[in-house]
Amino acid sequence: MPSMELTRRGKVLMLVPIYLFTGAYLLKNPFMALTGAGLLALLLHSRIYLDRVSSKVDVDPSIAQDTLYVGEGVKVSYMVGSERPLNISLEPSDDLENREDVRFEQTLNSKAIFESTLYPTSSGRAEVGGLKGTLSDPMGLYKVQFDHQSPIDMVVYPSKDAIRYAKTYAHRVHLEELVKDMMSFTVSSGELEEIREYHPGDRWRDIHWRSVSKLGNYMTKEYEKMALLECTVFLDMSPSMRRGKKKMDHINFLTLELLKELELSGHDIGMTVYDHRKVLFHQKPEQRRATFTRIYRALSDLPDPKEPAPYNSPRYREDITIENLKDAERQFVERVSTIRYGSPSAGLGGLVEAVKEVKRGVHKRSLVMIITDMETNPEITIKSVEKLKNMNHTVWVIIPFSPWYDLEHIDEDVLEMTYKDYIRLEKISKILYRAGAKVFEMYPGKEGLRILEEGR
Amino acid sequence: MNRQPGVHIMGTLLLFVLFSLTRDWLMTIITGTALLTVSIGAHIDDNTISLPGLILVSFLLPYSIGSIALDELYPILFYTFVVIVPIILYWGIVLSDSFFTDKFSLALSVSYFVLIPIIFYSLLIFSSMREYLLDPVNQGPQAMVISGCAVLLFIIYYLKPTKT
Repeated sequence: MPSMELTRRGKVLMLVPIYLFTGAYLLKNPFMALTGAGLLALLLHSRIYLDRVSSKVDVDPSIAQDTLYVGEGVKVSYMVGSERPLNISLEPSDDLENREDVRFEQTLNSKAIFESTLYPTSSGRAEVGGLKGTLSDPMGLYKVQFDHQSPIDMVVYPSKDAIRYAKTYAHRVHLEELVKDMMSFTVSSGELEEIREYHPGDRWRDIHWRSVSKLGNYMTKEYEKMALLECTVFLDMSPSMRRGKKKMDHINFLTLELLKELELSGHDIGMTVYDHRKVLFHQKPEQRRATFTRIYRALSDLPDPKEPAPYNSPRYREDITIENLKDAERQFVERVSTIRYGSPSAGLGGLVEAVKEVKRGVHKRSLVMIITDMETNPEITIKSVEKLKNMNHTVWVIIPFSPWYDLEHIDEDVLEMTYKDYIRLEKISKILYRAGAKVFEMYPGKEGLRILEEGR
Repeated sequence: MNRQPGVHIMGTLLLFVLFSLTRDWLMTIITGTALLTVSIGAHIDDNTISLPGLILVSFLLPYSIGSIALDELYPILFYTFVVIVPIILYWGIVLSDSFFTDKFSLALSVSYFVLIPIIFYSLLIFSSMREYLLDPVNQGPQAMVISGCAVLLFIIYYLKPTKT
């Protein structure tokens, strides 16, 4: 029972008996004392009235059963009931902000229903249905501060726009954009073609210093572009990549789309599927129609997806730094650099085997695309990138999933964890970038998004 | 529920009681003005106007009726039911639409009007001050004892509100 206190009106009425008693004594008038006693009785009446009635007030918010999204209004109705008439002055108290100023003031008779529209402003867990205000007796002499604790825990999802925005965050690359520009699949052959003016973004090492000293302007060397002949896709099929059917479908879609585009533009395509233990499928780059069919069959024959696990532990390690890679380097040197075919490298991951395959089969410079989520053996991936770079290959690391895409069961803790994971992934991406790989964090295109959102 | 007719009727009744008890035109006009203020306040639904009027009425009415001698049980009961109960009702009606709805608290406040005379007269009996206190000359001590009874009751009730 919250404490009762006198309202302003009650305080005035409290003073009146005191003055009446004083007046009764000074004016020798016992009737004034009697009147004062009567007014005290009035105060007492109000007090006991409220004391008996306030505990019977109850609030039942009935919230629309739809999902709550940031920015979308939700109607909440509060039911305040009491057995006796009360003056109430209430306002909703929620974690959510009310866009409109709602304040209910009226005399309550047995039951009243108030409605207000809530507009969540931030995602996460929110408590809905709180009411705060004062109840007072019909005369308004006593009041009780009323604070109904929020009975309903609601999960507010980020607004659809926000999710979309997060997924299309500036430097993430859409698959369609990636394969649109076929020139991006070329590397310089090293043959000087022409000397042109320097544009911001050109490499410093390409500046033709002799022309600079002659002309006074920055000039840069333009090399002949040459199409890559061989493109290999390294497809990670570790348990983390197989988490959920939707994820698998999306990976399939992405890989197929990528390979199809590469094949159509006349490159040799190959694919190596590996998991955390061994290589599952290997097709070395070839320019034959049968290759794509074989790859297509292999993609439809991938390991079964696992049950999507709840997001209850961080998925990326925090201690991955360049210094910590020395251990992985040592292992790598032991197992890979000494080219001993068939040497057991189990436990180090299928990627090592895949790198070995590349080393064995592809002698020309090629484009290697590693499709991985960087969750399993990130050090090995980083090291592999380094090794492949040393072998003069162009390496792209395509991360099809940022942790944002696992946002199915949104909790405040999970959101927090997702965010932290995302930061860790950014860190790992940075290391990858330093190792010489081009890192693409993909977001699903229209088709991929449809796959991911199916059944949601 | 519309409180305005109740306020007007109760005000008229109080004015009538006052005049019939005192036959004092001046005090009747002054109190009537205060009652009119309360009525106007109730009419335009503004309690900031009616509250000063109410307080003024609460002071003026017992002051005017103070000429009655309190020398028996009869005047105190008479005064209670003819003046104080209407004043309380008047307060209640002016300040709220629905006032006496809780029977228990109503009974407790009514117990005030019953208990004060009982305590007052039992004090007279047991303290052998009956002649002194019932002398119309000693109205000061009378007022003090009645106030004491009221405050005593109020403190008892206030500190131990009965819960069911």
